[in-house]
Amino acid sequence: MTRFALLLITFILLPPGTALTATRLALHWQPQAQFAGFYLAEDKGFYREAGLDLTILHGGADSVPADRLSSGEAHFATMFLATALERRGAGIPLVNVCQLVQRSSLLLLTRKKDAITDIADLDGRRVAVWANEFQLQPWALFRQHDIDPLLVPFSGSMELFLKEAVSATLAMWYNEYHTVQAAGYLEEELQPFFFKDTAFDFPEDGIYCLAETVENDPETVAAFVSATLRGWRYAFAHEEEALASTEARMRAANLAFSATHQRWMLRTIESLIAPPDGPDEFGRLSRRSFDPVAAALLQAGFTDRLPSYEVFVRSIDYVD
Amino acid sequence: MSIKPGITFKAVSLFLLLSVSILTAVHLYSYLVSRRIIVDMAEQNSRGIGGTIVHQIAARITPVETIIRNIAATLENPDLSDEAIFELTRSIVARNEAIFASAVAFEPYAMIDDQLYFAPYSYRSGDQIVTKQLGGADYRYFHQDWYQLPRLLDRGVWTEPYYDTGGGDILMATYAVPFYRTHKDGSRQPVGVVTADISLAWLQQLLAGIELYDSGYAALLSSSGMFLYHPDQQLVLNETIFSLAESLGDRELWEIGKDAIAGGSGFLERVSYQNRQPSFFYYRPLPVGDWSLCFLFPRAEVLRDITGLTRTTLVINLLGFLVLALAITWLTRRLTRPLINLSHAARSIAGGNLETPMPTHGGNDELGQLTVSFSEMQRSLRDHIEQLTETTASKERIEAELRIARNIQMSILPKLFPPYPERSEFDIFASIKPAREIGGDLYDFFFLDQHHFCFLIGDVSDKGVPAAFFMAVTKTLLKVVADQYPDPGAILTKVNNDLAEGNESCMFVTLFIGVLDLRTGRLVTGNAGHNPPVRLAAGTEPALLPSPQEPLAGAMSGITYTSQEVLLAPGDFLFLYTDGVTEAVSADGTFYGEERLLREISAAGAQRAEQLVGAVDRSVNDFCSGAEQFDDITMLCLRFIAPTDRETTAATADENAASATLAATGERDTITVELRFGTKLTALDDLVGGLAPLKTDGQLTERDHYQMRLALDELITNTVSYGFATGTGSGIEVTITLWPGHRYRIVYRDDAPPFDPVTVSVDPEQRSTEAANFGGLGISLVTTIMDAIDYRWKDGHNVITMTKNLTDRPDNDNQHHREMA
Repeated sequence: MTRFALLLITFILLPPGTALTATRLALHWQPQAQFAGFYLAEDKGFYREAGLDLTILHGGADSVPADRLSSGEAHFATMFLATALERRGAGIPLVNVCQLVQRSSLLLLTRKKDAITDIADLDGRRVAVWANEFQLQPWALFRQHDIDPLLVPFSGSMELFLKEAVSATLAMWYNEYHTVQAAGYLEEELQPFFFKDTAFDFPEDGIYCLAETVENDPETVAAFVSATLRGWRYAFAHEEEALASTEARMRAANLAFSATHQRWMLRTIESLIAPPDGPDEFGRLSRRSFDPVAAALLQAGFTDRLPSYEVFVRSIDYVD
Repeated sequence: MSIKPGITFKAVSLFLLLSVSILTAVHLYSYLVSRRIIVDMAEQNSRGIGGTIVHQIAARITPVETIIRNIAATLENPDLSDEAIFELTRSIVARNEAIFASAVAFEPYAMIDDQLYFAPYSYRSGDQIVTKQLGGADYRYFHQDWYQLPRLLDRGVWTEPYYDTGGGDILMATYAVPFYRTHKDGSRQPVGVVTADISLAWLQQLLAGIELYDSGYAALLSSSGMFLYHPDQQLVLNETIFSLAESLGDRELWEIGKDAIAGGSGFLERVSYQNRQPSFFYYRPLPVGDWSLCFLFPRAEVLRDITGLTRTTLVINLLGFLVLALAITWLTRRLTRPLINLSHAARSIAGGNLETPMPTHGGNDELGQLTVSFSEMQRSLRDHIEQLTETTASKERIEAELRIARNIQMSILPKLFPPYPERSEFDIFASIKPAREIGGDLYDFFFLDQHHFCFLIGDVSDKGVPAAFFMAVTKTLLKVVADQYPDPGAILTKVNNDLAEGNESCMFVTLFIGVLDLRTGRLVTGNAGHNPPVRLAAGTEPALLPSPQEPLAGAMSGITYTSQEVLLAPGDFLFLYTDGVTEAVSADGTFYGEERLLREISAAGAQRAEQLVGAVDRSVNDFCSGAEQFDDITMLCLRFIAPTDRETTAATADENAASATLAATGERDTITVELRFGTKLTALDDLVGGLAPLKTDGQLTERDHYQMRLALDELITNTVSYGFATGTGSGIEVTITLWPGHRYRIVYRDDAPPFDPVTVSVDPEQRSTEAANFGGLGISLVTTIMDAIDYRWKDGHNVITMTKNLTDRPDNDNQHHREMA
């Protein structure tokens, strides 16, 4: 109803005859509070006000957002910085038009009772890693520590870890770290290793598009980025509305919704997007964050050709 | 029902308090015990239902697990063809109703060398069984939990249940078992996983159908605490027991979840998170996938029967208490009613009604005895009151007699002033104010001879009738002795010896005697323990007359008293008093004292003896205002005017008619009239004529003359009408002596039967009817007219001596004289 009313208002406010630009956004995961800012920008009509008729496409474990951009299925896509750079190196002309998550929320989660006090202790042990994506950081970390864990690809649930089929699992701080707690683990029973505390503190969620989109239609890019950040600011200021918008999408997608869990996610993601103690990089990717990732990718041999910061990072142009 | 806070109230309160306490204790105990039993039964019930559920689930699940394990064993045969495996999945589903779908998924390239995916999958679609190949770029099955878990754990595993989106949103769970084949190198290698998907809809229905009291329910938790079934659909597959506990801040719930997924079981009491009702919570593990079964049911429903029972018994008890209270009230009232009647009767008796009838109480119990006792008491009281009435009557009679005796005692003191109007050498005045109780004060004065005037004052120790008698004896003795011994010391010596003789009661008297020689002013005094008198010499301050401390008279014989001499100057006052004056007590308890007395005498500025006595009397009155008078107040004052050598001056030793005769014969300025009257009323005819000379020669005013006539008229009328009416008596003699311009005296003598008009006139209220008729207002008139009246019975005659001062006098003086009378 609210959405309908907002749409109506948007239509009334827009000059007659102005057509909305049909725009598609591919998110790199299933609906959850990780994307609350996008949902609110849509629900509050910020995209429409910006002249965009946005369609949100959700991803999953087997979905590759970069491919959706190159295929033209989406105009914009969210990706981790490392993934985006790797794709760029693989030939997809991606550019960063907005950086949301400024720090790495990735962590290696172990059980305290297994007495894994150091990364090196994982040598030879089973470590669950997502079947697709996100492989660089653990790989680089293991190489840095010169260890050879037995990597077990997994689809996303924490079952392998919970049923103790693995000694460690990759997890996102805003998501699986809490999922494990919601399955009966106390925080003090867990021993996490945060990548943000390592040399591989890679910024994560950013908004990307093809270079040609920026060249051909910079207004749309600017409108989209601006409306998205507006949505995020609104989400942080209105936690309950953000949770409601998230719940609606999760239920529509038949996903399990736990208000407790999504609240945790929203609050954690806020601390990553707008770190209370960090520099005000809201929406932008700084060179200081960009360079280590690029260097790590080159060093790891994931790619041998990377664009310069100036070429790749266009978010500076779109974020005030 | 009005319960007074009496015996009834106390009895009811005590009985009820005790019975309520006892019954409350019994109820509390039985409630607690029954509650324990009921709660135990509830726990047993929970375990029973839980066991049944487990059996039902096991009956359905165990065959599935067995089949899949057997299939896994079958699949270890490397000779199975692709088609056979496809057919195998199909037949697993076809042959087992409980199984919704089945897959046999191989490791990459494990079945067919160049084929990454090989996973035949059969599932129900409507009535059909559809078989297809799983795996592809968008579904890499070997990354799925159902594949990874049995592979990694090397055993059959139930996966975390999920909603099957393709199969119509049915809650599904997958049982997956790994299978192995022997490698070429002889090692046993994992080759794949065989699965069976089963719908949990039946399990949800089973749990939904459980009846736990009225509103109790069951819930199902997965191995990670996820709600697989809960009446609140919002929780199912959305929340874990831990996330629920986190959102509620409920640490206990969290602990329960932890214990449950660890395979624990328990029965405890806790508050329902939904409606905050105290409830019972039961949980136990299920034989499937480390899942847990939970029951929650409201405590109130469990305890409903016992609560109802308790309520009913409470009502019965309350009614019982009410009946008990009524019964006790009725009983105690029945018991106390005679008591109350008795109490009313007693109150009536206490109020003075000794004739109050006693309530009849038939029984011979304590109450009956009490009633008898009361009746006896009433009788005794009645007798006592009768005795008391008699005693009081006799006491009143005695008191009346005492009053008369008092009057007699007072009448023996001279009270006619001036007593010697013809003597100009001195002036004397005395007063006595008797205390309520009979006292023993006395005074007297008389001439020893023509030139020696004796005056005295005394105070008998003690009070009462003996003192009065002693006083009378003393006065008489003094008079007799003084006539024989003119010296005060000698008088006292003699009187003391006489009094002490036979004085069994050891009474004594203080006495002061003075003998004044009127020719010279020489005063000889004697003092037996009396207060020294005050001398007020003209032009000086009053002073106590020096006086030796000689013993009291009457206590011991053989004492010789001395005499002292002092010379009075013309104008000197001598003031004699008893200790009734100086020991008069004021309302605040202080004595009047000698100092005050001297001060008052000095301040009085008296010219005559009477004035000085009057002044002191007023002062004592003011001082004692409001306080009771304990002692007689007696004062006697003598003023020595001037010595005289008039040898021929008339003097008298008696104050009756004899002196009048002397005066009539001697003095040129005195007029004496003697009249005689018969026994008939016609005597009055002579009265006017007889009195005429007094008017003409004596300058008696019209008013005085009229009053004199009126008084005589009344007296004569009385004497004739009542005295002579009996036939006795011969007549009346009246001697009138007039000192023109000063005063007159009437001596009235008749030989009628004795009749004292003075006593009659003092208290008209006490006269008998006869006396009232007899005296009537006439006698009162006489006492009003005259300044002093004295009555004596002498030599068979009534002798009434009346004095009237002709100068104007203050009214209170009149009062004073009458009081003394």
